[in-house]
Amino acid sequence: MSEIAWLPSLDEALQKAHAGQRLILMDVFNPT
Amino acid sequence: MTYPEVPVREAIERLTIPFQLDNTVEANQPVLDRYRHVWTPDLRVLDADGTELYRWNGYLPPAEFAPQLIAAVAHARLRRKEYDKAKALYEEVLRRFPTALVAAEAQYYAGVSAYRASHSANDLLHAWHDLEKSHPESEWTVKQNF
Repeated sequence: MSEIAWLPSLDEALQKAHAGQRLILMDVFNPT
Repeated sequence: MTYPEVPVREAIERLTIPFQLDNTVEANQPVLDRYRHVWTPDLRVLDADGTELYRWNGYLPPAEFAPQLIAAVAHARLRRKEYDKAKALYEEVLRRFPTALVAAEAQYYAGVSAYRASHSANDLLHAWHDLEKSHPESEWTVKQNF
């Protein structure tokens, strides 16, 4: 099963959103 | 884990550009401060300029996460005045996840988006009548009784 390709930065997400139609999903997590 | 589940992954990849941020990494603090981050899980739907269009906190199991995500994107589309797209997403929630926690809210806003698109009060009243029948105890049924 493939995993979700989460982008690592807001800047990359904003750039990709400008180039397409999808909105950004931001997931803030705590790994502990 | 919620994300490996197929309905969740499918909804995230179809509807969004997913971006993850670890709140223990110092370098992420400027973004966390920008969005007034408080608690995880912290999920936001953002516009292409970074404007927050919807947010929610807290863990949800897969059966609730997928409809919540679809409803979240529907709310974002509604705020962008993309009424037909919003309505289609609310209706997807109702069709695929009729017993989800977010279903009553989706029914409420399906009526709102239909009304915004058509300017016909009948569209709003029809959706809200269905809401009263399907979710009589919901806070959204209370909210429609203005």
